[in-house]
Amino acid sequence: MSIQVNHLTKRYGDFTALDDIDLAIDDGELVALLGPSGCGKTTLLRSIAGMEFADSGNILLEGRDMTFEPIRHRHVGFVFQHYALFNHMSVFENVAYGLRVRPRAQRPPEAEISRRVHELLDLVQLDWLAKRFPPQLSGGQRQRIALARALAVEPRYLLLDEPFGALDASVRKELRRWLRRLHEELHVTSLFVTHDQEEAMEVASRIVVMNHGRIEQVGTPEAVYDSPATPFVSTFIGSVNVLHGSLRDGHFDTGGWQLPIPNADLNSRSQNAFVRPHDIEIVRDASTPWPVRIRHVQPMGSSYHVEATPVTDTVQGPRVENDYLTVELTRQTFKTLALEVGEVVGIRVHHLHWFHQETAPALD
Amino acid sequence: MSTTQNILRPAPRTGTAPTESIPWVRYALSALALLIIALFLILPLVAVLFEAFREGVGAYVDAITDPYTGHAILLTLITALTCVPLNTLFGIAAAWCIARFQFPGRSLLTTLIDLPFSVSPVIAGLVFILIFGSQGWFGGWFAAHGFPIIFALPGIVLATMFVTLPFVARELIPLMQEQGSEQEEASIMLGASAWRMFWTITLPRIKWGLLYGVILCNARAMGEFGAVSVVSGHIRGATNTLPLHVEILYNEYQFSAAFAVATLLAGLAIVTLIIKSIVEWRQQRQWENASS
Repeated sequence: MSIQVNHLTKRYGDFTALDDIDLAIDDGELVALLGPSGCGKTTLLRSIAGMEFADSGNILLEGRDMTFEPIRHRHVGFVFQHYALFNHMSVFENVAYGLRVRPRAQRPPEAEISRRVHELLDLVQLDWLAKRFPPQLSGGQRQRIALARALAVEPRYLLLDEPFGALDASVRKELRRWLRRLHEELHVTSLFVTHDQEEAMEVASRIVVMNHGRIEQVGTPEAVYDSPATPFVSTFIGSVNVLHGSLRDGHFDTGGWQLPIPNADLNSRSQNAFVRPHDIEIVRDASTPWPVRIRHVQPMGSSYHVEATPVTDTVQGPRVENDYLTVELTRQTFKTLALEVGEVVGIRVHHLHWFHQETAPALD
Repeated sequence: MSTTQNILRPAPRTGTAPTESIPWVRYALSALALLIIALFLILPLVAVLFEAFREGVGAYVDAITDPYTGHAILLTLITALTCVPLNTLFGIAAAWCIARFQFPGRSLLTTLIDLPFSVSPVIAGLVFILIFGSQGWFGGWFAAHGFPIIFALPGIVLATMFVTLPFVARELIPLMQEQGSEQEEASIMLGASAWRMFWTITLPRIKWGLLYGVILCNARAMGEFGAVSVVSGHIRGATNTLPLHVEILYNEYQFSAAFAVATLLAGLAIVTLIIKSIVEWRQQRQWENASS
């Protein structure tokens, strides 16, 4: 069941929440809307659900224009960040609610309702909580009940608004995996909002990156990480080092450092180059053209994050965002190198990317 | 009102108050509070009962079973039974409107709802005389069509409605703002109609706050004196409510009868307080459940 959004625009006074959004989601996909707070991702989700109406543009569900259709014609299941369970009803009644409020002619008989509810509670592995009330449950349990409740009406689309935002880190991790498995089982077209890039990468088959009411990039987790379309995507997804300078003769030139770029486009006017922390290698070779001094070492468990300041003879020196480079080393590499804070070592840059035309600074 | 509950709770401790370690201050303040309660709350109640039975149980029963007293009870009940449901409907509608929607004039509406609290009831009564009295703007027309408003039941109901208008709305607005609309949105997303959503989600969530407002509204509707006194005309057996009846009896030097009828109002107040405490307790428990 496909979702298509055309030229959707929504303003609140002077604030533009959605700025000419175009988006197509295929049947059975699990897509993440990713962006910082205030980027319009929740407004987009609520517009598709029918809880908000855009100023212009339209929304097509299965090819039919549903822009102004009421919520009940859209066959949408919605999961809220703060669960929005009905606290005065038992878990069973919460899940049964969507079936009980149907018009009499479409309402299933009591036995059928009971069967369906227990089936859904089994699906979320919480059938043993049927008689409890929501305030007696943990956050993770509540959100799974909310999901069962949304699925009870057999929605064609499942929309989730920061579904794990209110949960503890460990519960969140577990539920992410669980949601992905559930999607593999049910194949209902799903769209979820998140500000957590790790969550988007782990759960979604495609990611829609949004900023300032616009879509910056749509792609698989791999695509948005490996080939970001804009400086914003580079810096928002994963961490990145930003070098200021210019492209010249197949090199990126930053204050005395000449970083070679394969297949460089000499017409590019790029001012910034972006390097992922794991694309930098540290070598014990004093003759390297790019010496750095180790400033800080941060053990992260499976890896080490090393902060290194460029060392140069020239007055200006390489211009690096925040004045240091972050290098990510595997545990093994770090132990082999046996780095000490304060010592000078060399680096090698294995991969960097840049953008042909930049309008805005990469970081804000 | 909800603020009364907060006053009774201990203030949160912010450092050590200089007087905290002096026991006699605590005892003196407690004694003072108890004295004031005894003097201003308990003593009048005892006095009412004492005066009511001064001339014996027989006189008390006579006063209560007097036909004029019976009519005053009936009129008070009719007034309350008309005003309370209407103001409950209005209160829910106004609270819904203010708590769920943003619109121009929203804060003005919130202020206007409080108007009856800030205007003296006597003024309210006089305003109705001005509008519906025989010399008033519309009074002549209504009287000519056989439907007099002032010195009749409609006037009493109007004056009482005006005075008791804020009770339910004032109770519900902060409650509904606090609760937010997410559960209602969830209900609509699951396919419920607005009507269905109101009965299954909104009403069960506000029921204790609503009941609290209704109790206060009812107590005031039955006990209102000032506004009703101005519009009723004190016609015995026709436009005399219980509070007015007490005054008439007292002015006629029938002290014992006046206090006997007053025990009915006092009894009503005590029953109201008991129900109010139960509701408060239930409401508290619901909030604790909701926040845990």
